[in-house]
Amino acid sequence: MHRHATSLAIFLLFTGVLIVALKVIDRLPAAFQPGVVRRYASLAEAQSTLGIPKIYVPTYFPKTLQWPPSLVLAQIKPFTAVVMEFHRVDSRVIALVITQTASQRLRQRPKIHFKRIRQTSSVNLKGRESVVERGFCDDGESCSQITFMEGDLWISIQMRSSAEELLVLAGSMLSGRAQ
Amino acid sequence: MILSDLLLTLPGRYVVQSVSHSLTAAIVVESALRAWAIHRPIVQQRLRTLVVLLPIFAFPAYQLVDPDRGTMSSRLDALLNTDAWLYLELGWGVRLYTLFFLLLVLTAAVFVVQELVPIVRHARESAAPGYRRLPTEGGAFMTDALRAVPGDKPEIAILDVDDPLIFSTTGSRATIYLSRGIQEVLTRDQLEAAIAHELAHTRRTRRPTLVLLFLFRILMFFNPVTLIAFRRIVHGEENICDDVAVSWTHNPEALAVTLQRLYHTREVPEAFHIRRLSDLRSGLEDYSHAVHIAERIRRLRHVDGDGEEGWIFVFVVVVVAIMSINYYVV
Repeated sequence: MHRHATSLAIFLLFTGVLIVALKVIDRLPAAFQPGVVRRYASLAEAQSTLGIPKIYVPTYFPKTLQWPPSLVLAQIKPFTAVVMEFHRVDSRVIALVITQTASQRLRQRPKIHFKRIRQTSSVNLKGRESVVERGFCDDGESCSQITFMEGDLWISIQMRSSAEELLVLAGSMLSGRAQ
Repeated sequence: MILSDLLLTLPGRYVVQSVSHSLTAAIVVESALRAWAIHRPIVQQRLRTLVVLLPIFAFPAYQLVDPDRGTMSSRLDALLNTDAWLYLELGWGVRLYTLFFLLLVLTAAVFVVQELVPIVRHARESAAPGYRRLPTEGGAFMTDALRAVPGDKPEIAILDVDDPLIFSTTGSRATIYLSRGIQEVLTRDQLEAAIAHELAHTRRTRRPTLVLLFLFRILMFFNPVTLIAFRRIVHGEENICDDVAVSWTHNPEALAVTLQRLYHTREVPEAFHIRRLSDLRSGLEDYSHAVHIAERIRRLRHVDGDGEEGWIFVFVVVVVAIMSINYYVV
């Protein structure tokens, strides 16, 4: 029994060393070549660090949402992608998620969960073909989502709000007709 | 660009993660073998089997339990995000994933040439080719100890060869081949030890677990860690058969002397003696073989003494450690 306990302690020590080593190995490439996904304090920091030419942000911003984004995730490896999350002013509920990505291979954990999609329709958004989904979130609140292409980027916006407000917000991210 | 996209697909992710999962599994298993000072070959083999098996099922199992594993935000919490290394720029537009892919191709080629082709060839040649069999009464070589071994006994065939040879085949009927020359080199005790070792091979080769392990190993044909791990398992098989043979004959010294007489004619450092560059491969093989035989002789003469008790506990701890760590290697 004593032998087992000692061996187990040695094994756990080895395992601990392995875990630390993995974390160090994980951080090494970013030390001399930034680009894989990480959190950024602001959109400006993400843009300047990664050299992303343009990050699409809405010029219309509902007063119920808190600016700046509570979370900014960005990467240029393996492809360019930026994810922004916004809280409500009066709570910690995530009410808006904006994603722009250069690849449809992006996999992102949904932060706004649709319980039921009531209607899916195609909408012309300042000359861009977009798909709008209207439905309800887990708690019964109205939720909507829009997806469209802007140049080489796929943009997806999920919002705890009506589709009408979402369309106003999405339109404010774009200028004029499609590129 | 095509390769870059391929690595982002689920099969691509599977390939990348199975290789990295094998590597961490190998480190965890070797750590456990040292921590518990496990010298028993059968227990070592059971643990090393995890290096081959777990990475095959780990990725689909993780995705089934947590479909969000591997998403952009979950990669932030990873112990190791493989993208950070694979997409590292090495210069001249080359990224590390190109070298990684070449390593996989090289591993697959080694697997086909050194493992698959010889096995297919061996399976088609059920008898010993090129050797003339002498009419003999194989039962004459069955000592009391070997007769006491339960189960079917293999056929024993004598080959008309002067060199001391012994080997076995497991076709439709297991056969142990002895050369005429070996009977002049070995005493009766040593011959019994050698036959017992081959008998152990014929018994273990027919076990479905080993066949299954090889089939699973084929699934990881591209995995360089599996290539090494499986070879260690095969090497360990010799030690296991030594132990089985000794459990029947109760005479480890006879087997040690047999190995020394048949295979260990040169000292290990001399075995690695290269005169020309073309000798490099055969020199390395000779050296590796000599080291392995020397290790088997040492083990037979210095019984390490640890048993099999408590191995299930170690096995469970190792499985939990591997699965927990690899969950965070994405």
